[in-house]
Amino acid sequence: MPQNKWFATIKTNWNQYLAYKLDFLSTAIIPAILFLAIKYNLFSVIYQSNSKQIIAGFTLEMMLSYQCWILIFSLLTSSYSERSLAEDIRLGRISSYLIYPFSFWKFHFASFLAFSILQLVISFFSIIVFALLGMIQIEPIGLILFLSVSIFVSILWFFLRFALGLIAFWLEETWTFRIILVTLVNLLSGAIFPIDMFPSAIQKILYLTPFPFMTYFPVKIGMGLATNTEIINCFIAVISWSLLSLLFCNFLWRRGLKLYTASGM
Amino acid sequence: MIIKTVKLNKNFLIPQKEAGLLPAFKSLWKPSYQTKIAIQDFDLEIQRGEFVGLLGPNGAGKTTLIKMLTGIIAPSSGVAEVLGHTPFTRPLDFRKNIALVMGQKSQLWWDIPAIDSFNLLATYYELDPKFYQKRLAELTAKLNLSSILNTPIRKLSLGERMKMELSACLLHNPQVIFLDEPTIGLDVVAQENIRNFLKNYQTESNCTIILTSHYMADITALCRRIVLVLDGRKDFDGELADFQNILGNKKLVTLRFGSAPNQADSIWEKFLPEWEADGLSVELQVPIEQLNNEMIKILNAFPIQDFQTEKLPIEKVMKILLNKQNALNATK
Repeated sequence: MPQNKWFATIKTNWNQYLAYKLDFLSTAIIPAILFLAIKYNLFSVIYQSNSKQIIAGFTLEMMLSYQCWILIFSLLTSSYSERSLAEDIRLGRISSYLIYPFSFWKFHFASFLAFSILQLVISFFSIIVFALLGMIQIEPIGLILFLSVSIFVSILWFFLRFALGLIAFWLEETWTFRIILVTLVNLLSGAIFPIDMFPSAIQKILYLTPFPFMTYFPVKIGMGLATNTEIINCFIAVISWSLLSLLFCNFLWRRGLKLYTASGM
Repeated sequence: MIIKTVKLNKNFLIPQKEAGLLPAFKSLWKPSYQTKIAIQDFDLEIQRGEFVGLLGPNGAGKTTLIKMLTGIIAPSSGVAEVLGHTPFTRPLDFRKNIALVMGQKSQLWWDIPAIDSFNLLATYYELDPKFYQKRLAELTAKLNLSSILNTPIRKLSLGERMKMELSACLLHNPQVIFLDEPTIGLDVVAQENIRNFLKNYQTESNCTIILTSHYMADITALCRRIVLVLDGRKDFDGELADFQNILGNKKLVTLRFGSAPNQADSIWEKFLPEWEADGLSVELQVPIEQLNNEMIKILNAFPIQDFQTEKLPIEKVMKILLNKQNALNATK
């Protein structure tokens, strides 16, 4: 019985990750843990004067729990790097994928799935550790909804990063755009502090963008703080932005491929 | 007909950037481009079972032509057909029946053993497991790869890697194979091994192979037909034997002198002499009908120690064409 193409590609990706175990650890896990440690200390200091005070609706305990959920969420969703895609385009390496009977898109989506599955395992482990340490409270329905929305957000991230990678058809370097995107998302999605801390006028503007749905609302769902309307809105927004990003990727791919010169071959 | 192109054209827009910071900023909002014509009005017809050599200097357009025929890049205009398909649309049936080996670029996954790459490709090409195992055993035996199948590609030597690339591209028994500089950078023994393998493989399978190479030995050993590409145009298309006579029916005469003769003597001029640095040896291109008379004159006039004549080798023909591209037009 021949193997499934998707499963075979996922297995190959795992083999590649295993070839660079240290790289996998240093890019996938260590930054997320460091980011949590910094924010954990920062908020502990902010709340130091009065641990009972409430800032933007968050007590110190809630804020620390929020930060732990963010770590889990970022492990679940930031599982694809467009760096290899941009390099493949710039150095003409996509030529091979254009010839194989498994498309370039599928190959990269399978790479994304391979990484996501690994990250999912690590996330479960993190959830258990945080729950045992009493740093997060688990609610079964909230957890299921949180994991479901995480899947959609990771797909949105995949398309956004794929689009960034495709810019390599036009520009030699895409890393500046990557930094801009990651910084914007970190700042405006609630990955550093909850959206509630922004002035209400800015919050209103942010709700028109995909950012709050890329961290803040999913984490609120995980914490059991989101209302039913917020949960529904979050799913609708993430799926809609994912579809838009997919269309944008498709547009870039079609236009870009016409410019592709397969240099270096 | 396996491959057909009609008035095929490819132009590239090359971004132009002046030196300095200010022009670099200027190019951000007002980029300037230069159009480079890579392939121009290219007509080509290749039948099943042909082994065709694409010849030409660097930048002549050989690889661009292969990129268009494999569907990697889109033509600017004209028609390209491979196995009845338009390559750039890359339908599945087309991709399953072609293969490409790029000597300068690895297509296998760098960090994993070759056998993992082969297994993955077998899945992509939907090969029957029995067929795949048989094919893999055949190819690895012929190319002597069995002992290194479990070694990551990045740990292999260039020669071993190229043999792996060839095996990978042949796993699915493609009808058309494009080989772009498959022996580049290899030592002479490795080159010969690959050449022998390709020759036997093509004879046994009757597949169609299009080869580009800078090594004339590859072309002369493998290709019955040659297509010469100069400045994006097809300048010659015919049998290898005809190509060797492209500059007229000439013999290459090598003379060795006891003492250095006068290089300014008018007798040499018409035979395009190439003198050795010591002035004691010269290569002349002598039309075959003048060979007897001219050699007698030279033997009588100069202190010849040794001489030999041979048919103008293909390397020489190419060298002359590359150095002086209008030589070809002059012979037309």
